[in-house]
Amino acid sequence: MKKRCKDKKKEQDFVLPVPSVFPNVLPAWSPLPGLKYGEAFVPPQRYARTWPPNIALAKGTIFPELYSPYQE
Amino acid sequence: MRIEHQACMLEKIQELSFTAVDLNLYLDNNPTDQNALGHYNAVCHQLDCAKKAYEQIYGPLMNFGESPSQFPWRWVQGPWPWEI
Repeated sequence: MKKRCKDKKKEQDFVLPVPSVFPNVLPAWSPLPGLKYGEAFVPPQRYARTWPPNIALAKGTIFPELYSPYQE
Repeated sequence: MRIEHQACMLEKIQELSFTAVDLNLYLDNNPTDQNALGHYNAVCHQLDCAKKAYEQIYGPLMNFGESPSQFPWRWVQGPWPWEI
């Protein structure tokens, strides 16, 4: 939560890009005019080491690099 | 003991099925990855063998279309999957 507040402060200092140069930014009437919509980037996966079937089923993936359980 | 063995064989089938479907998803995005394809084909073969071995002892895994039945009709005999 603390970190979020800090980021908000940074946002205010940020100089917004000019809409005519970046036509895909949020319009003036939006709550955050001048900012861009979110974009998702998914780096290509490389086939490397895989877990054996019994471990993979327990972990929910055969790829160790995709294993990211929720923290309790 | 018999139920334990049956559960063990079913678990093996589930594990191999999961590995096959995860490789299936990877190959959807990377259809030219020969190593992954080789792995997928090997797992499919193991899965096929595991299913056949299971069905030899405990009867069909599917109710129709997947494997022939011994006499008498085996589908309704033995425990249901959730009873194992």
